[in-house]
Amino acid sequence: MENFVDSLLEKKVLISAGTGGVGKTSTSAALGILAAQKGLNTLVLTIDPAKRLKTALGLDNLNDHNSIVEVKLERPMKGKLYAGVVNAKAVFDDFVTEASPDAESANQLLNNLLYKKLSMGLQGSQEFTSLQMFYKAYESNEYDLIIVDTPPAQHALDFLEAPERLSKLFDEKILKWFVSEKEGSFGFIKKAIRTGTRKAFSILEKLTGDQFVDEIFDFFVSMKFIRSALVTRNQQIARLLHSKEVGFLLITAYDVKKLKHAIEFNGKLQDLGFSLAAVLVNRCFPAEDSLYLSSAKNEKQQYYHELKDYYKKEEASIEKINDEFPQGIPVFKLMEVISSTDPLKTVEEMAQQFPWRI
Amino acid sequence: MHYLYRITKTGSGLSKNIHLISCNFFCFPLNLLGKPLLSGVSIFQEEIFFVTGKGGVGKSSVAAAIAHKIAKTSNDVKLVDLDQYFRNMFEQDKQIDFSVEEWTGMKCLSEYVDHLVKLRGLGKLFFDNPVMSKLLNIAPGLFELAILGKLSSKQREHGPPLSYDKLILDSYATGHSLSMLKAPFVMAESITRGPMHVQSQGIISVLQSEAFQPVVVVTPELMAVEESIELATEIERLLGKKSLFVINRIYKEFADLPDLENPWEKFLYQKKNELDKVRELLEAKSYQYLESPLVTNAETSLDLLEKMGAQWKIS
Repeated sequence: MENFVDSLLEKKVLISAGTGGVGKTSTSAALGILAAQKGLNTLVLTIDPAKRLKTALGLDNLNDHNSIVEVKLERPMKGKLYAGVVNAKAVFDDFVTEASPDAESANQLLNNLLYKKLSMGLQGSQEFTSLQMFYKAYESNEYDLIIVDTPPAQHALDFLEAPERLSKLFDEKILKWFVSEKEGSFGFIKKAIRTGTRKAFSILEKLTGDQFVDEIFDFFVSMKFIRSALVTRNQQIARLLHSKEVGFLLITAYDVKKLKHAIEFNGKLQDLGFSLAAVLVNRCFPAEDSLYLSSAKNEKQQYYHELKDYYKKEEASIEKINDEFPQGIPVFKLMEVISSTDPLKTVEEMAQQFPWRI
Repeated sequence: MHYLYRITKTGSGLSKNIHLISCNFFCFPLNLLGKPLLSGVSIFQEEIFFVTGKGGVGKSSVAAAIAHKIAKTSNDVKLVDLDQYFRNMFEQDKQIDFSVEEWTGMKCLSEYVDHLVKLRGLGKLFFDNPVMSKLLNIAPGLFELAILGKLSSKQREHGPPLSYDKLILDSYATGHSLSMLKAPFVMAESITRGPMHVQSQGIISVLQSEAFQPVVVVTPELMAVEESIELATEIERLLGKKSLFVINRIYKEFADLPDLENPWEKFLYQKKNELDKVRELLEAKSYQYLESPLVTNAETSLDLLEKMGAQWKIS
């Protein structure tokens, strides 16, 4: 357990999974700093960092195609630290361009109204684009370690299941309904499809109007060119994720509900053939007796004991849940850090908690 | 102390509840330390409360606390759950004075379709059709629009009838809530004619009206509050109104000078410091806010809600 950080940093990829609001981004950044100090050229890929953290990492002045920068910290580091923000729209546009057979097909999708405005609302697109960006970074071989922050989600497992859901949306079978070899127009196909489907479409038209139905259709048809590329890329990513070079970190909070989710997450992860490298429990209340030194009986002392009792109750249920974690997975507690106005200081304070000597 | 009681019936007519109208000896609403809040603030006058916040701040508890508070002076109060969060929350409470409904995008859409096509069979045909269900999943924003559509159906007088005096929506976390609020705007812009356009415009009108109040929940952490203010700014840009903030999980404040050599006292002092910075920031940007303590001794869920909203004054 003492050296779990060392074994973590031996991986080539660390994926920080967890629900929203547990401190994934800060924890990922903290590990990135540790790794760079150890001498590893490290990339931390973030999804939606806080504005101040973005500025502190130098991620403010990024254009679409230059989304990775080198981070210069005050303290000297043996290795280089890089940070990147996933610009989902840019990543997806690039993917469409690369995956399309020619420029015309690419443009058909890129110029589609619904694609332009709403594609980032597609289920799985956030997850797919962050995995896609990570995949490209991995293929470039420029980094010793890549730490991937995942999008905030209701369910920690979304980032693994969502990309496949995305490619399933554009199912080959269904596609055949819309794309004819001779004429690709919707009008032509209308005659050919079954009564049930035609009725369903007339209801959709009544619901939303003909313009909406046309746009949806056009969007669906335009996706046909990249459908197989989506499937292939997801397969490649899945293969990579299964390799021993990839470690999964579950970041969770000092909260009974969240820890229950963590157990479920581990179970599902194992079902998919992955395993957890470590569990990091964030924002633990520093309920050490040594914290309170004064013997004076006053309101503050009383309050301290109130809080300690409250967290002790939480702790008892948490310990029970802790026992359910399979042996051999290190569970590490991170104490709550008072966030300072300098976000890098906060992150560095977190980094110092890890049981690892530089 | 001076108490006024009013006996009322709940919306469902199931029982009579005694509602506390006013129990305050003091003239001004006070925060935890007795410092006056923005006096003359009238809160909870609107009909729809859209509660959002970064993950982990206690947004759902705050939404429920608002429902509980409002129910003291309003009859038919609905708390809407998008995530089955409240399913088992009130098991230990004998009676709550608001109703809890679970909505999903799919459910809202199917109720709407059923209402429009009038024949139940047709609605089922629509959703069971494999091609259609694929398309529904692809159409980005459709489920979000269905939820907003149901939310605003009363004001728009469109869609299956939904009645309430006050509705509190425990919405998604910030990112998802923002895309939800943007959906009708994007749709109305992209689709320029037909029902989709008309309904989107109708939804926009309600969101921009006085009936709608966005509520942003934060914890007293400066960086997180700054992010939430960015969200509130976006909301203001879209809807032309200021969000109401709720600062949740506040540690007790103590008036005496801290002994900074003592780690615990230092911890409390830093917490208070940060809280004051958060208050200053919100006030500087002209946001109204409520405060809610970190509650450590709640006996039941309802007790928790009571304690969370203890300091809020509905005028």
